Amino acid sequence: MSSSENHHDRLVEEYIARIHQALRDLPPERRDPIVEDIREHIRTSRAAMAPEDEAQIRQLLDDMGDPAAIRAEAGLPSTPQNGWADRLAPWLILFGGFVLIVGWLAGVVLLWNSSVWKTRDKVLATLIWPGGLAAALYAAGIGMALPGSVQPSSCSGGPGILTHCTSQPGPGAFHVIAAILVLVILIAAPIVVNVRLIRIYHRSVA
Amino acid sequence: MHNMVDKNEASWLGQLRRGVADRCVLALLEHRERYGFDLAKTLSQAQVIAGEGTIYPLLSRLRRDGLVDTVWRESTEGPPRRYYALTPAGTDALAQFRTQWTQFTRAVNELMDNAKEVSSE
Repeated sequence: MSSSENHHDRLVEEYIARIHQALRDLPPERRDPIVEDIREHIRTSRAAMAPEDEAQIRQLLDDMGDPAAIRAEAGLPSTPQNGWADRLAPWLILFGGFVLIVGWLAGVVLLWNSSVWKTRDKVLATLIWPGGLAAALYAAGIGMALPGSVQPSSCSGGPGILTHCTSQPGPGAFHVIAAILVLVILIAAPIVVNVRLIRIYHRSVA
Repeated sequence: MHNMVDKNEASWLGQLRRGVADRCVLALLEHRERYGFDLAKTLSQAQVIAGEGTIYPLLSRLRRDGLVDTVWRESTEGPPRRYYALTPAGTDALAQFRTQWTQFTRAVNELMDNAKEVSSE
């Protein structure tokens, strides 16, 4: 076998490997016959070229089509799955903040590397809230401490005239409701956003 | 703007092709069994499929749906080859598609002609 034929074989094998990769979500009993048929198709084409050159081989592989198109025809979603990475990302973003900040950062990296989610979803998941639930609880902790320590007073009127001041009577009912509301939003937002990410992921693999 | 029109055009045509490609396979198998390679070449030249390789997942699906069957045939060059043949269910599906396709294209043609008449008035 000549060295150029070796090189052509390598080009073909690279293409077959890409097909294999594109169809990796299929069960082997469905994937293998398709890959075998494509291999045979290429063999039949090459048998008709004698002698073959590299341009012909490249043209042949080009005519076979984009692995993504073959994947689509096999009824698989157009976005190749990253498997564990896509499954893990939303959970890391949600709870990773508790593992210092590293867990959350890892989640964000996996999120942005994935092709399952749209940019819009990625931006949302990154911004609500950086640090995930850990950040939400931390912020809630600060928020809880604030109403008791800060007692603002409001004054109306101007210099020289009667100045009317009302002292704020500590954390009133309104403040308590507002604080609970903020707390709920702080905790619910990352949960809602990440549940959405998980739903999109499951729809993409269904 | 022009790009968007082009893109839309490519997308409807692509969808239409994907929708009818497997029915075209059934039509090609109507009178005789065929080698996958020949099916790929014919449909690719007719620009019904995007790449020759896309015929194989398509054939795999038709086979799972019970519309085509495979038979091994001896080949003068090399190992035996897998040929594809229509099953009775495939024959029925083809007949049904023919009727629907005729009705569909007639309806679309009428709409197109109608639009032409209105615009020329």
